Amino acid sequence: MATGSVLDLTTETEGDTTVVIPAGRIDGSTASPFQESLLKLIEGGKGSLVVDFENIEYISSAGLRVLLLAAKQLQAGGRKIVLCAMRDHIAEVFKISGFSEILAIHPTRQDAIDAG
Amino acid sequence: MKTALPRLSLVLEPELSSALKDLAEAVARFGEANGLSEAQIHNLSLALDELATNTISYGFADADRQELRVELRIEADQVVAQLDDSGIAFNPFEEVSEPDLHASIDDRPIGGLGVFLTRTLFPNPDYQRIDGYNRITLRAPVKGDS
Repeated sequence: MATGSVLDLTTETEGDTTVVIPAGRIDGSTASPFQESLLKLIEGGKGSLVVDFENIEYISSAGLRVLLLAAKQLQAGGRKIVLCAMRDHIAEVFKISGFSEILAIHPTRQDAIDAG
Repeated sequence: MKTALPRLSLVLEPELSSALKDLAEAVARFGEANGLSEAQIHNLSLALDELATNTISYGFADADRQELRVELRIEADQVVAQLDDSGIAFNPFEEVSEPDLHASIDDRPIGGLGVFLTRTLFPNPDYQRIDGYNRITLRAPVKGDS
């Protein structure tokens, strides 16, 4: 990882809801650590998982795959994933891939927490 | 003053993390020098990322050599992105099936999206096998900032 992109991740909690705020690029080289972190948070939490995209500048299909995996895990436990605060070009990637049909996407973090 | 950069050619390391970083930087540099819109720079970056990721992750596994080169150029009113690799012969646009975009979370398979995104952003991509290299060429009309 020394030469590649680094994905920073901060988390907050709002009641039962876990809010993850990743920063940087989610691509083939950062997707694995991102997946590990999300799955750990899902395992350790009991409510919804909000992923705030405010500080995400880029996502590739490797990142979409991680979110789908997280959504499947959560759904299996009767929980859900809620996304928010995407830049336009990122929202477009979700739209093209059909992910905006299966994942809830809200304009702001508060909207996402309220929906969670 | 921005310098025009009508052609940019770059050899990528066969290691995902540094390849993706170098690729993103090169596309941004080329795009800014040629006044491409942010959206177009993003689309080029994403499509090339998807193709390079597949090559490095799968195409090089059984290959004798691991050579990967990207070239970006402006041809008349088109932006052209070309990716050459020495991996196993593979045309992703014929051999990867379309994902079901309307499947539910449970039914939706993990993966298979990268090629689809590439083809959606750059319709009619070209694939050729030339002298032991895969060559993929993507084209789009130049879209400027204004």
